[in-house]
Amino acid sequence: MTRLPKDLEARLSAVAPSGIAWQAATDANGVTTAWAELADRNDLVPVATLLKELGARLSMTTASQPPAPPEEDEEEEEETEDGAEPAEKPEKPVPTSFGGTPLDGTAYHLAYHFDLDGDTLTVVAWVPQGGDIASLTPLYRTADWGEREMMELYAVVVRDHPDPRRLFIDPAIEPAVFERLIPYSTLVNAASTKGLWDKIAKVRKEVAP
Amino acid sequence: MNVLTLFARNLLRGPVTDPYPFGPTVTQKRFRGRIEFDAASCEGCKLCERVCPSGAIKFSKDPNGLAFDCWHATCVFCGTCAFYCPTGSIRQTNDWSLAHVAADKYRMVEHGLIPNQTCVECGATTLDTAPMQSGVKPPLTAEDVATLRPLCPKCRAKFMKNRKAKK
Repeated sequence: MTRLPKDLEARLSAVAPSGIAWQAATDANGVTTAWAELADRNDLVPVATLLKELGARLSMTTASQPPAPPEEDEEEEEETEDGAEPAEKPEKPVPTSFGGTPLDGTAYHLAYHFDLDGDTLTVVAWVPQGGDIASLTPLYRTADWGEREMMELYAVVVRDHPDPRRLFIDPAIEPAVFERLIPYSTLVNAASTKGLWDKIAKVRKEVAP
Repeated sequence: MNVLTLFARNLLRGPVTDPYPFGPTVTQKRFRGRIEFDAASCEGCKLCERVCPSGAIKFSKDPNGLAFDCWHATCVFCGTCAFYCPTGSIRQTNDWSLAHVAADKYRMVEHGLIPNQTCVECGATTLDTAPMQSGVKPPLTAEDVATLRPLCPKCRAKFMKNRKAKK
């Protein structure tokens, strides 16, 4: 039992001509969680307009800059090739998102979390480095702060934002702080430094040489 | 309830708290406590190290193989490692008694070693990890696992390729 309209995927596809990657799951309590990844970020406004007509609310926006996916089996290659002639490695193409945005660690993953009568639909738009995205603030007032936060944390340009002032960070500080500075959570994560593991290894050698 | 009835009942029943540490106490079976690692069933995928939010798990190369360490002092008992472990090699016991003196803090470690072995096919030195089972179609039989176990990754890949071709 889902509260999302049955033909939602088809209706979203109709307004997003470049295509959407649709994913939906309903849990035991009948709550549906759906994800729609846009092939083209310019389809965001038509999609959001359709959702507005369906009575959706925008709960939250999340921006992130995911690291490039790790290259697989790199270490095993090293271990198995000792002495032998190194196998020729073909140039691996950079992996891309559903819409073709290169996932090289510089692209932005923007997630717009919509609520449709209790069910969640997250619309995902990828923005390549240096790209921009249309503002949803004229449609949803809740997008205002989220978009302003995006602009100061990352080098994402939000087009046509009615009030593009700084949200939290002082205007004197250069934007895109997450790309230049070390996040506080990383800074304080000193629990597992190399020095710590060296100490643990040393103690173990003393106990069982 | 009358306070006197309550008083009389408590006198008869005695205290309801456990006498721990001077006597026995009860721990729920599903209590999520100290991490336990089983090197024999580990595939060596290192997913636990990657997902551990507190960085308590560390795989390191050792002259004898691949060493696993989980430092209990950093572990937050979230169970993420056990959730993601494809083989159930890492699990949470219901042991919560991890109090220790500061001098012993670096000994509060769950240590395991995936030993080195020699590949029976090509003779290369390789880790004695459990063969990867998830996503293999059709699932590996006990014989397949027994054949794959003493092989190096390259010979394992060869075996899997032949197996696919046979089916």
